[in-house]
Amino acid sequence: MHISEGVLPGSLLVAGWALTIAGTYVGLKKLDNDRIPLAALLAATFFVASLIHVPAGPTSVHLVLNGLAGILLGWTVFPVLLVGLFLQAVLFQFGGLTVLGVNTFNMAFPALVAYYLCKGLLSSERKMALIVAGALSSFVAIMGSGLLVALELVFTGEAFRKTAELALLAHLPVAVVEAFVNAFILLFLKRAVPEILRRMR
Amino acid sequence: MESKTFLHTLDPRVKIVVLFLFSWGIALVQDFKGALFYLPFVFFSLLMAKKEVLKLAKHLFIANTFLLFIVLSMVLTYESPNMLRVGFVSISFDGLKLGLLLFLKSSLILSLTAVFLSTSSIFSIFHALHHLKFPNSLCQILFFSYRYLHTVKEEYETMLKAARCRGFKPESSIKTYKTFAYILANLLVRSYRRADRVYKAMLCRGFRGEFPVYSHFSLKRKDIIFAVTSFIYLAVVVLWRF
Repeated sequence: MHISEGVLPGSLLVAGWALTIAGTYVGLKKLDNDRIPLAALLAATFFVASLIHVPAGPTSVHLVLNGLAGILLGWTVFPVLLVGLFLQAVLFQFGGLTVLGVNTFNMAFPALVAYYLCKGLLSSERKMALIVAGALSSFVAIMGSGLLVALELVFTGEAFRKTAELALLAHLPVAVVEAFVNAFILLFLKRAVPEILRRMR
Repeated sequence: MESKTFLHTLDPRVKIVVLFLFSWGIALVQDFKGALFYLPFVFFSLLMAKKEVLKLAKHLFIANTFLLFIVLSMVLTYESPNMLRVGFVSISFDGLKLGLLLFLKSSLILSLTAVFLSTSSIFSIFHALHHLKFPNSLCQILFFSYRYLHTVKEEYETMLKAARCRGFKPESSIKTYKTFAYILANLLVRSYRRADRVYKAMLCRGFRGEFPVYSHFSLKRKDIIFAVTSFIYLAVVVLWRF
């Protein structure tokens, strides 16, 4: 969930940008020149994925796939998601420039945590390991993002407490749907093009 | 071709800097009075780019769904002395007031972003970011991902159409998630392979890590006048409150 412009106080906006710049710096350092087109194409792919609405019970949710981006890209997830969100801001006016740092950090940091948690599972030969990696990355990344959004709202003011609870709750169906989607994607990649699981980060 | 307004002809570097400063100015405002000071500037910018206004209204509506969610949940849950109870529903006036302020601030920033960024071609914006000392690799990722956005989207739509032709109907089931997952996995594989081809093609054409640029920006008198007027406006609004 993207936080809108004008909601958060200046201290959070600045902190968000500082953390995002730090993460992007490390991500770009780890990205060799020959993999720039790959990072860009993945940014485009994850952007397109975020436009997909998938039915979930009575409503539909749109995919985020930041967990998958995290485990495939490692630290490079920071620049890739920053670019994705910037394009959303420019093309659809989804959020502006001041809140971009916070929103990038909200999505990229949990994705990075998912990367470190699932690193070992991806190299395993067992099918079960990939399913666990898919589900784990989804829950860590999506619920992690939800938790960050909720914490920022609570920090902003007591008036947002209920909003924060609702925001966190709204992430749950996305996490469940993406657990399945991630697991199937990883299984497919392992069968079809296993080097993708090793070579992207 | 759309007719060019004054904003279209401004240097994108100036527009980005002015937009950046004003966005922060509005984002940091705490009360209605402060936010209203920015209204004339935003209104004037909207007037200068009048063609875009209708399109903008539609975008604003979509972009503000998160805000609507925040305002509604605040109005209905914020506990304060000023409450109006109607049956089960209690409406908080303080919640409403805070919600409206957030709504105003967000709309101001988004309008300004839309007006300033949609009046330059996206490539000239990337070019301007490069001049504003954004890291080279980040600019290249931006450039490439925008370049291939539509290609990837078309590929996705083709695959979805193919699935539909085979009787795929999205519903809440594991099978649906599996189908979407396989489509997405295919997209990832294609992107992975395309990136390889693109990079090799670039090397063949002598790519050495930098894009040569043929058109250059030059600051004209109106750019400087616009920049100076905007800075003065911002300075007055910020200083007024102290």
